[in-house]
Amino acid sequence: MRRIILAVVIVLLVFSVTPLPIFAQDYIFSVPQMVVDAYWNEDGSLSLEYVFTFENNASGHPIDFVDVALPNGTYDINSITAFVDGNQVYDISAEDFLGEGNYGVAIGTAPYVIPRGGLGVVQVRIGKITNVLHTASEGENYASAVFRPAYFTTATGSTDMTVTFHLPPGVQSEEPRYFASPSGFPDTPESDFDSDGRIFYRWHNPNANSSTSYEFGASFPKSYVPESSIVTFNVNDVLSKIRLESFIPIICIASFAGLIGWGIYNENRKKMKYLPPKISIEGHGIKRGLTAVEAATLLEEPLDKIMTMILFSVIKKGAAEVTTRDPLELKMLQPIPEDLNSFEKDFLHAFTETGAIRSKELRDMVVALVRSISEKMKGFSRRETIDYYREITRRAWAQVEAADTPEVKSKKYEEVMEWTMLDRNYDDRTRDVFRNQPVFVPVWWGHYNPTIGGSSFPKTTAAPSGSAGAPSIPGADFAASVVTGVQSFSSKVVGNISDFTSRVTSVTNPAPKYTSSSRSGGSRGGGGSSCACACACAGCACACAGGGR
Amino acid sequence: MRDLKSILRQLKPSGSSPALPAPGLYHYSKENGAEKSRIHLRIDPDQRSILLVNASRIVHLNPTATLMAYLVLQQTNQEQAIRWISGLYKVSKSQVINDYTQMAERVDELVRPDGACPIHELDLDVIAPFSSQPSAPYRMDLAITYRCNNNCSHCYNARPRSYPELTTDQWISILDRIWALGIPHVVFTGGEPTLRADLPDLIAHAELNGQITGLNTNGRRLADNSFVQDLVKAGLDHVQITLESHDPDIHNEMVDSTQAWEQTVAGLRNVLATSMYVMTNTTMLRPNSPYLEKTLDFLAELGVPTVGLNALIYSGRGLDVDSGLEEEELHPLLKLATNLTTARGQRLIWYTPTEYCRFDPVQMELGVKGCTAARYNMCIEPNGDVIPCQSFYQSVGNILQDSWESIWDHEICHKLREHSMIQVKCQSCALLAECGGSCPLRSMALSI
Repeated sequence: MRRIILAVVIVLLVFSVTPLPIFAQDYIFSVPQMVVDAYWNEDGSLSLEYVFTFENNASGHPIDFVDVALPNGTYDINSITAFVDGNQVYDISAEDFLGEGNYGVAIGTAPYVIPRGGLGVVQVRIGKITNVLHTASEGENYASAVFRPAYFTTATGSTDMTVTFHLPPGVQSEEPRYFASPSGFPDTPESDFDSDGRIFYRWHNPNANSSTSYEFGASFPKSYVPESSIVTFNVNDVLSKIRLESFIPIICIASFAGLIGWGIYNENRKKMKYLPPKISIEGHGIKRGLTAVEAATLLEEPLDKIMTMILFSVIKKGAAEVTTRDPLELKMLQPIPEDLNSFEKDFLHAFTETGAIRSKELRDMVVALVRSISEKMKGFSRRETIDYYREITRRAWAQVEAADTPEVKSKKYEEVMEWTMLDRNYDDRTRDVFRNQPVFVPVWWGHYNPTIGGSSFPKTTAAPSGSAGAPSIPGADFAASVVTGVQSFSSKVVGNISDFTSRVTSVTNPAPKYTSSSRSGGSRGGGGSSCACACACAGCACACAGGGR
Repeated sequence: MRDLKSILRQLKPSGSSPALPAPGLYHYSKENGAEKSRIHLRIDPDQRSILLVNASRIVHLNPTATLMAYLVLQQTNQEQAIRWISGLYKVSKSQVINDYTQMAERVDELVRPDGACPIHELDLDVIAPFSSQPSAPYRMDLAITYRCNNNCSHCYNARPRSYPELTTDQWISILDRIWALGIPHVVFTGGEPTLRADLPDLIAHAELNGQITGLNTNGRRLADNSFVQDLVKAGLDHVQITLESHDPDIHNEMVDSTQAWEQTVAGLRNVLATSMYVMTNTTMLRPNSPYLEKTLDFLAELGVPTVGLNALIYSGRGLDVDSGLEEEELHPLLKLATNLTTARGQRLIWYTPTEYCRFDPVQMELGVKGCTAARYNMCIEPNGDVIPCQSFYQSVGNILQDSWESIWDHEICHKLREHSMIQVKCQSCALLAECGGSCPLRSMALSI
């Protein structure tokens, strides 16, 4: 076997990811033995097998986690297995990795935590890591493999350390080269063929220092691995990242674009528990008391649905009735109910007009509605309020769906119909709920659907109490009537709903968020925000700020 | 060649290993075009904190948000900040990157005086009004003298005008102490604070500490523009001038001084010409409230950007003046004020805590108004005694002699924070958390 010892200083191309681990003091342990097998595979990937023997101090923290840092993110997490004292553990997580560096996995040792004063063997196998080979200095025909196993800055005692490189299958005995052995290891590593016939280099030091970082390297002809598996090294990238000083020979950097893999037993488990950052402000939470129409506006339901809800609302209140559905025309009823909301009044007024004027008034009505909601929401949590009304909608449907009989279901539906419409899937749910049973339509429904009175729908059963005189119709027909109401509104009243919506949003949409130009100029300290809702914040120190003299 | 360790050490934040910021008050100034912000981050020992922007916007941060806000405000390089956080918390780097990026955006907006609304646009978590339990108030009123050149018939001052006063040095030591307590905002009041010749010196010292300074005054001494300039030079941030009416006769009668109105208005004009934040305050009582519209017209003509209104305070002469309005009478007045100030682009601040069942400021869109005494603000009297607010004349200790814990944990402070001083009818009211049962002074007066 041809052996070439390269007396070259290895510049560690660690890509800025090897700040030395900082160890919590209450993890007190030694690593009496560490065995590492690095398999440089024929596909250019690397497989690592670690066997750590931990000896925990009697006063040390139980060893509950081991973090294994990895050189890059191109590893297969599904290829990782771990054992503690021969027992497989499954708590392997990249998300929980706390070691330094950008990549790695955390191995939870539970339920085989190594107790205080205990001895434990942790085995970790990483089946596949790619992008780990680089062009070697011997020439462009050689691939360089450099590896640094785990080190433990606060571990006590010595470590019997064995590191074995298994070169790719097929590499001939005269071809590979090993790099200078780290201090304390024999100048010449043991070399032979492993049980798979692969050439190996083995470095062994029975008195290694487990708190020292050792580096091992070898190279072999590129031809034994795919060309594409060898990483092209960009000197400038590294220079910019690690800010090497000028006297570091660039040739070294280029020549030993190596891999550093390392495992870190991570006492950083003593780090604090992470809770996502949370900012809160005193103020109101939920804005209660919105009507279903207002809530639908807040929830940004389609405008045709919102206007249909207003239509149902004015009919339900006895303010109007539909005279024709196609085209949709209303007749105002007298006396005008006192409890009409302003948007309902505006809506009704729009139907006293025709054509473009009606369309414009409906747009103005919606614009005013949107603005009024904006005003009402000042100082209240939009998110909590939306959640609140979503919950009302959910409960409304639950009540309807839970009703046992068509009579009760119809009654419930009448009570909560406007809230059920806030459901984005109200059309499907309406069809589903009423598909196979009759609906006792409410009295006011006849004012929406004039055909009820004359009745194009077959009457099937008697009306339930409380709905005296109300006809029943097949559920599917009723559902279709509700759903098509919205579609009709869109097509028969406002035309293209997208255009209509655009005409509304062009007025209501405020300037983009966070633009200073949309707000007044600055103020000096003690002033306060120009946003009207800022003063709704109770935490504002201007609450009882000393007026009154 | 340098060894690996020395190379790697270069990659860490310079001079800093990951550690939590020390508890205390951190002060930052930020200026971006017309926007100027004074920012205070008050970090408690448990690493929770409050972020105060221009002493008016207050948000609460959990420990993680505290660290992130600190790093943002320290203008820490983002890569270093992320590494710092990762070194302290059990968290994946990807989550830190995501959270820190979002946090940085939020902090940038929060510290802008005209930044995104924290409730509307930033969608911060909303906690119940007055639910915070700070370790010290956000604002300390400093009644540096009870002397006054007005003699208001409704004045809440319950102390003699000749009340003993501390020296300049003593006030300076008080400013330092309350800074050390983490109180970022001081308001000089009285009496009439401009009657103390050392007022500019005290302001300058507070500003040197990093405190935001305000002045509550009748404005008469501000008619002397050179005095105003002294205050500006000292760094005074905001001024509140009491003007009771557009009508000189009404104003002068209410303050019982024939020359007052002209001097006050002259003072108001002078401060409006400065860069200071200026507002007025008007106590709505029977003599002046019928003319509120004209007073608001007058303030608009003067160019007053912020108008403050309040009701009678039931303390001192306020207990006997008998010119206070019933809370139900406030509604049309505040409606009028809201409409007028909105139309004119002014800001309206309503101060007085009321019984929400009688006058609900939330419904009036005036904001949540409740008693903040001994919670968000307190007052130090001319002799160094600490009182829960500048109208509540029961000492809870002396700032120069007593420990802060004994002051803050005084029985009276606890009672105020716990809404113990309320009328019986309010005790089971659902609105109590926000309403607080109105001003405790009023409740006590009504119960007598």
